[in-house]
Amino acid sequence: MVLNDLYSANSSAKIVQFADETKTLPDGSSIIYAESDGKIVLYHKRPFERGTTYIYERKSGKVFVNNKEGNNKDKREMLRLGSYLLEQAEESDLITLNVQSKGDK
Amino acid sequence: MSVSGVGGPIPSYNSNIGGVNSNSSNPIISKHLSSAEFQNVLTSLGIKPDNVVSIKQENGVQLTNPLQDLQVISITPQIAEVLKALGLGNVELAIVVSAEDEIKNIRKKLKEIKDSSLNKDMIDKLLKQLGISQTSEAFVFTDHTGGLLIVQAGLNEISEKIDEEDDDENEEK
Repeated sequence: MVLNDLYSANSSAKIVQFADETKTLPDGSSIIYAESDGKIVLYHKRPFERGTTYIYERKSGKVFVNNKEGNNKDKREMLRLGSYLLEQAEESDLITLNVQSKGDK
Repeated sequence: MSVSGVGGPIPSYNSNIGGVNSNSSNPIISKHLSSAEFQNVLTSLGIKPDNVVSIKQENGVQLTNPLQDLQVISITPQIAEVLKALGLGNVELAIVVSAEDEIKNIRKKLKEIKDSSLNKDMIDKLLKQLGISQTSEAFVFTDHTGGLLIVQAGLNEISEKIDEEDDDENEEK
């Protein structure tokens, strides 16, 4: 199999997070933003609490919170968290990972 | 220059490669750094292992050391959760290479790897050299900045969708 064939089955994503994983937002929480062609994911974790994963499906516009379908209120919470990250983070604080996965969907 | 991997907590460490003096507190990373395979990778990427004198984490890719600073990023449980949510799994290691005087070479090498007609055996060999499990069939690399713009664009997309739905609701009323 040539490389082009390998890559034809690829999926890819971008993950934006603090380069220093010990760094938190002023409220003590941490947020990781990620996106693929089909989804936008925001992972939010408060200290000593279980993390919450928001998944926004780009095509359908649906949102899922910890794998349960949510509503516009959840989308707004996703926006609020993302905006908080934008307000508090400097470009130099962040690192973007490009993930390529061979047919791993 | 930075090399990053995915698979555990982002370490902060100072190590020497070339003489192979790996002081990483992360045993997984130490193993990679001290392995002959890892140095083979550096060589295959056009980096002389002897030139790699320090490994340290700084803010993102804003590395100022003109020498090749390697950054190894491991997959944290949080990143694993995100990857799972995106439908991507089995990512074990990311290799990122960036350096003021080497980045072009690294990009060229990565592009060559991606665009070339190398056969699977050669890719498998490369992945093996990179320390990636043959079954993982996934890897990560980055030298990208622009994280804020990426997040902003994504949030705008969601915001526009909410506005559309609000408009639809109002029309129905």
